[in-house]
Amino acid sequence: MSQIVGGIGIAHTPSMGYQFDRGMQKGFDPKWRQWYDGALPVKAWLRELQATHMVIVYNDHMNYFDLKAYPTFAIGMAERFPQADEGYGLRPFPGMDGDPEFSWPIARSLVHDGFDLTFCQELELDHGVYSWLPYVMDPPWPVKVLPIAVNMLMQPVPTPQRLHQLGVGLRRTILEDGSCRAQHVVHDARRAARGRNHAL
Amino acid sequence: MTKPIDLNLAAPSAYLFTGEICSRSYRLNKFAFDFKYPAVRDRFTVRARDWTGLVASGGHHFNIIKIAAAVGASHLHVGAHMVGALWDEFKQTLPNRVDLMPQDIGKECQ
Repeated sequence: MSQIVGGIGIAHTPSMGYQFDRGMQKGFDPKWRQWYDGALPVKAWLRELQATHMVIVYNDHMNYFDLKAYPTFAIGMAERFPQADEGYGLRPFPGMDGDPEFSWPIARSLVHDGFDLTFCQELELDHGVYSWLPYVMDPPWPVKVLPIAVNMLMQPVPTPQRLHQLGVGLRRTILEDGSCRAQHVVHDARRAARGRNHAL
Repeated sequence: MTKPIDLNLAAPSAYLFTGEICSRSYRLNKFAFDFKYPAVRDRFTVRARDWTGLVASGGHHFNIIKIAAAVGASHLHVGAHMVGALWDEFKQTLPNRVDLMPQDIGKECQ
């Protein structure tokens, strides 16, 4: 049985990422220093947990998916997830590794729960992941990831009830799965709150 | 004295992106999305920069900012244009100081 060792909810904005890159090179602006310092306990906690896997529920910003076929729930089943170029070039971070052996049982269980998932053998991760990631982990990334991209860009978006069901289903399947590896779940706080975190 | 910025959720400050609009404006959105590719950016010159007009015509924010990125502007510049404010005025209204654009990072680190 796998174990859920923790969960975090964290905001994301493009500027978080850019300010991180500059902060590490030239020092943080005092306002952004609060962000960096505020995330340090999370970073220490994650290091202490020594999770092997991370399930990330996030949203893409038309940096990988486009309107040609826009999935409501897309799940990344690949062994490698590159960073998405958002039009300004890549930031200096490696892609993330996936683990299909870990991911497929979870995907199967979610489908049995009634989630009609889009399975992605290719997926690039944008600032929905990369803006906050370096605040809480150092590369090389110590976890393998299972990214789940939720439509937040065009109406109709999934209901809060549906997202709650997703969380319940994820918990159940992770605890039931037989891979015997610890992991933690990251839920973007925005999923739960439908908040306005871009006012950061 | 600069005029106060009217921040609200009515057009042209904000537009709801519905499925009907998505179907109607698909070609515009496809065109804008492709600006994420350097080869496409190189083929076009961005002249009018009427971001609000593009959004009002059914362009999705996250697609239109691909065109904006091609001329060094960001989603915040698009937002400023939509509320009819100059960039320097608009950024005063943001809770966190914005003094860094993504494309500046590379230059600063040289």
